[in-house]
Amino acid sequence: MKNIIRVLIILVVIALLVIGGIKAVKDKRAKEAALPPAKTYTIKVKTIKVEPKDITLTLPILAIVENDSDVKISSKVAERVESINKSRGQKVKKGEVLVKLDSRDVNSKILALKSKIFSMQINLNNLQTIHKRSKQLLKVDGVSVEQFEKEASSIASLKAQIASLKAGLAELYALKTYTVLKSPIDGVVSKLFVSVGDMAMPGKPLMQISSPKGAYIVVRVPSDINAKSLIFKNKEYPLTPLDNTFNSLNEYRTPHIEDNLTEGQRVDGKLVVYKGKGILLPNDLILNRDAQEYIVLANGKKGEGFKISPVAQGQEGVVVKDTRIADKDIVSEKPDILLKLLSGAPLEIIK
Amino acid sequence: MFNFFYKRPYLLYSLIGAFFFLGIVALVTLPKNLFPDANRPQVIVITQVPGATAEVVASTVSKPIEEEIARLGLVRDISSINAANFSIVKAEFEYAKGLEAAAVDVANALSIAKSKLPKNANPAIYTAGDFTLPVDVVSLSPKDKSISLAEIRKVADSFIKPYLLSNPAIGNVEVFGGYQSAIDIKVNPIKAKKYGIDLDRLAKTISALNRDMPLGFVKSKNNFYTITWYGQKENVAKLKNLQIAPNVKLSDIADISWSYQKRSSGYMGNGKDAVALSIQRAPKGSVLTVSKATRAEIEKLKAQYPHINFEISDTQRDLIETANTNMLEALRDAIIFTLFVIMIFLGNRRALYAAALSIPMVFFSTMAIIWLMGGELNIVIYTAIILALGMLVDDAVVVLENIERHMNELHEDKQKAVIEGTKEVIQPIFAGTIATIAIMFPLMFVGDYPQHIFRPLIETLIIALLVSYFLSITFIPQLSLWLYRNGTEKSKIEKWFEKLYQNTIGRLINPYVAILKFSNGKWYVLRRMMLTMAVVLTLVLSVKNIMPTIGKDVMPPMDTGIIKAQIAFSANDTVDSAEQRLRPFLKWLHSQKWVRMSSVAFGTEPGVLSLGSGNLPAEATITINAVNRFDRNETIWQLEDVIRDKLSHIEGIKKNDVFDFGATALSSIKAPLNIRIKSPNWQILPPIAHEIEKNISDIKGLTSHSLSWDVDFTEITLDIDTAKALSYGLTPYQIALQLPLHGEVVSLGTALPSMNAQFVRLYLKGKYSSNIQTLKMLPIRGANGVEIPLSELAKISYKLTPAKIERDAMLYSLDIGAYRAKRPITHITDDANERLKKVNTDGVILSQEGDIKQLNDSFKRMIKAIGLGVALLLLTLIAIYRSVRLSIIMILVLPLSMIGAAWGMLLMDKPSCMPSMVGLLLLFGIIIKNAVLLIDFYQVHEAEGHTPFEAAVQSVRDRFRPVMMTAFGTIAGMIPIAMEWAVGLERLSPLADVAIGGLLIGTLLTLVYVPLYAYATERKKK
Repeated sequence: MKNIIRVLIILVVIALLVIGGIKAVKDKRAKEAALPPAKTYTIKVKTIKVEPKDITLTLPILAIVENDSDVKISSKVAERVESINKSRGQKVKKGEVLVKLDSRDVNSKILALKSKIFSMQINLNNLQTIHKRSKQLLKVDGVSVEQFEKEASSIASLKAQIASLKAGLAELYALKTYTVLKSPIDGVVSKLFVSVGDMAMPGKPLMQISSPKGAYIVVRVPSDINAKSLIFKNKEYPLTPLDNTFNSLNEYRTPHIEDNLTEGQRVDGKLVVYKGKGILLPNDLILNRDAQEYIVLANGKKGEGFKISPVAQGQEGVVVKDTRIADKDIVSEKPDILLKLLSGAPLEIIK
Repeated sequence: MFNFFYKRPYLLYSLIGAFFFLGIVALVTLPKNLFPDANRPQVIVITQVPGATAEVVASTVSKPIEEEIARLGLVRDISSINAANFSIVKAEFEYAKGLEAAAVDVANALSIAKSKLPKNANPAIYTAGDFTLPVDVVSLSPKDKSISLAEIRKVADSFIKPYLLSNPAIGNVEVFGGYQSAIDIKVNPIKAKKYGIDLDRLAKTISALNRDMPLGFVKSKNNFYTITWYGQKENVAKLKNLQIAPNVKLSDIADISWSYQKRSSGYMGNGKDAVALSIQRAPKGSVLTVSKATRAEIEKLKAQYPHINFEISDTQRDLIETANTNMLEALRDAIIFTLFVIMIFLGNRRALYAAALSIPMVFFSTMAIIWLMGGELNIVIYTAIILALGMLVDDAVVVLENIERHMNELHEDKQKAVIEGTKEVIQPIFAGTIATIAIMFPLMFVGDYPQHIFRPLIETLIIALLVSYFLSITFIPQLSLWLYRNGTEKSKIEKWFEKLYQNTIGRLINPYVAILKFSNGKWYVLRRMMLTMAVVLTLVLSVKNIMPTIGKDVMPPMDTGIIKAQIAFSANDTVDSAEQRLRPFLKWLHSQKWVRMSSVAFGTEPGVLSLGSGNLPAEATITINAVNRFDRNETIWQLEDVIRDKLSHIEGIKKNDVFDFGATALSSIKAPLNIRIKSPNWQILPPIAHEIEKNISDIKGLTSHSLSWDVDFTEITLDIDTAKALSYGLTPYQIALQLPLHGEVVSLGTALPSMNAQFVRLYLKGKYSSNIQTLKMLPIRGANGVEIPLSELAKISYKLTPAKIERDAMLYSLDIGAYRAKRPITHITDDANERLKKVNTDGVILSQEGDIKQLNDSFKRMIKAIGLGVALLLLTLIAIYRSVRLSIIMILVLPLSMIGAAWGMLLMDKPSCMPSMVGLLLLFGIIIKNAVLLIDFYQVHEAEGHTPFEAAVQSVRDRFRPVMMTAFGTIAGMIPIAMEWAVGLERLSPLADVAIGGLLIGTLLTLVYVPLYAYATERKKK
């Protein structure tokens, strides 16, 4: 009896051990199988919404100032410069005297001519008096008809001579004006080409008067950029193509701008390359991949790539005409985050 | 030896006293560490290449350096990280090389390679190893508005660092955090244009001041161009008066000030923006000494700089101090348990006193010998001492018991009993000690990583065993003379314990004897076969089912309380924007009660190895020190989950890996699971890496996964029409120098003067994308003074390129890394290999570079060591017992203990690992001692004339109690290790689990099967 009980106890103990052992192994395997894999976290992103509106796209540009109302003062007479009444940089008003040339030559010529005319005039007067008498005499046949007509023709030719001399005198007076040069416009003496004592030649510029009213801006733009207008100091000016190239760049000019601009000055401006209706996308949220441009739209937890074809690009962003992206959440993150979203990572919008 | 010392008690006591005293000195002065230094010697070459991209850096700088280093001897691995402006080449050498030799060889290699490098590349060599990990990180931040971070940086660089370095206890100090001083030259573009000066001319004139100073160009908000020149403060005045053009000084067109450079690195200590001082120890230095010296100096500095806030934001000290204190407590507990077991099993107070006295003597003598040999204290050494406890107590008790037996049963007088009793047991004790040493001995020479970790353990064990042997045959006999001065009478308590034993454990002898009798009954052959089959079947089934289920690890994960996180924002982000986004997280972090300190390092700084080092500016390494695991309820893995979840809520975070410090066996292993693909052509790597990452994302037990680099950095490429450029009298290089006029350019991709390439690369910060449009109209001044917009000369387009490229073993490499909580490495790696079969990896070399690599190598070595150990043991036993048969029997019983070992690991939820292999070895060493004693007594009884069967039964009766006591004593001593009562013991507890499980089952089985086979195979008549 005792033996059987003992054997039974031993068997039961062994059975319990075996069952316990198997359970322990199974438990451990189950625990390991229940381990979760790595959590996939959503990437937190910020989004923006865009709407169609009027857009102006610009590119910053360095332009140059030119001036077309610059007057170059030159003389018609070849005389010495006697005095320069306005120095470089001085302001001048219309009509003010700028340069005085040596006028003694002209003056003496005028004097000579005047006296010649005077003497001729006296001659004329004399002849006219004689002629008057001759006319009275002719009535009484005191002089011959021939003499009377001879006198008449002498008077006529003398009148003609005086007239031509008078014309000559007028020319001299005109020439005299060129010895005192006055400013035709309001402006500033921007350039001085001669000094006192120099010889002025006809056609040789003596000084340049620059008028602030005549300044305009010239932009030089590569041929693949469509320049519409220029924004300078927050004002927009239309651009006219000059149909001219400067080192293979197209030149455009603005209308006159009154803003204290000096010729040759370089100014910062914004070149308007697009004006019109459309959707403006900031440059930040565009992904460039394989020469294609994409934005990422947030659709629930997924990011969907959307190919865009910009019609214009500027520093404010790009313009697209595709209205399908209006009112959608566009992900605004750096390109490598966008790339991750496109390859399947889930996203979550945060405010 | 016994006789020698027995006759000279004074010599004995003075010797013991001397070692005791030395031991106390040793305990106080030995350098303390957490684990033994096991990292291989590493030499790092950092080269700054201003203006070069990752690709250019990889091909022109890293490649030549790698090729030269590859020719050196004992190189284990060469890898490199290449990012814009810098190259970091890491050379890992085998242990045998030694750090100094490695550094010298690399320096020589570099001097040969220098001629192949670009002219403006400046390589610098650093050594790295376990000492690179900072002892303390001191975080300096402004207390009030009177001082800024830039000023703190200047103070740190110029004054604090040299001051700290002058203290001989401190090894090295690294300063990190950005804000490096530089001279800011803000150029007014209008004024510059007025004088007709462009940036090109400016750059040339300033460079002429000092050829080697790099220049950086940046445009700030108010349209000023800023040139940053890394010169000295004195040069500000010089610069102001620098003639740029006739009658034009630099100060006429620019504002010059002493400021700081634009940041590519940053630091936040305990949540505040700060500058970090990373304090390191010298290669063989002690962490605690360095830390004490540092903190003393910091106190002095606090008084000197009242406006600077000094805080500790990271430290090794707490972990080491806690671990060491814990271990001493564990030792104390082990001693108490062991003594308790002695009392229960022996009921002999004299034995108790003998054991209680011998334990501290062995402990301090071992300490003294370690100190004399120049070792250090770490968890491994402490574990060895605790393990030795059980064994050494055994020796003392055996001697004492035998002396008592001589007095009681043989009625000898005290002196004779001592002499005869001791002499009788000298051989078995010696045999047992030698046998245990023999089996462990080969492990000391197993080579590589296992040797570095476990050699100290084995050495300490061997020392402890030898000391214990010495004491048991010299000190114990002397002590017994005193203990038994009044005879062998038992006290009442002793008698009570004796009764307790007899009524409980003592009764277990009967089943044993019964089994032996059973095996000698009718049809004994069948019975013996049945018994044998039963145990063999159990062994096979246990091992076959359990081993695959529990998997393998190199070392199991441990909860040190230090959490690391590796995060990354967009490659195009700046340090400032990254810091801003991290601040709310850090605020939350420091409000948690389990957080003590935090340290966040962004980016990389040249010359700093302990912080950053290989991070891009918007990548950060976060180190969080939590309270130790005894002071909190959550496990470190639960905390990691919480942190990872919180980090995932930050906008734009691309990489989010959170793992425990020490997640990999060696710091050179990047992640527990690390799949590496290599190819001579880097372009094909990223798509394959993405495919691999997708496939492994569903592996169980992983917590996060990421790629080490990717092609996701947007840069702007200028395709310069060289013909057109030349028609304007410009070279691509001249165009490049004029570029920063209207954009925010951080670096130019073509500062290398030798480059006549068409491709110029720009890196833009912040609003970079609006600036590509700005760049189009950028006026470039031609040779004849004419200005042409940039878009006339070059086609501007975007490109995605890698911000970082890595190389390994002379090829381009990409790592897909994954972290885990506690699932065994072999299971994870097997799952990964399964999934990798589905991925097309043509054209790349694929390899597993995670823990598995070290695991396979170490396991191979350990198994070899065990095999050798067993062989050595067999030979030793044959020599001692002069019987091959008996020796083989003793050896054959060893595998039976593996049954208990396997179940021990399963029930304690541990994988097979190196500590468990060592545990196996120790287990064998302990079991063999029991077998040895059994056989010894068996031989004695046989010699007295008994039959083999009777001798067998009698030996069981004789040795049952002491064997049980040894087993339970050792188990008791290992309880603190198995229960992980100290920080860091999670790594070594498998050793105890194996030993305890194995001892329980093994002892029970040894007592049956050793005598059984001993008599059953006897050729003499029964």
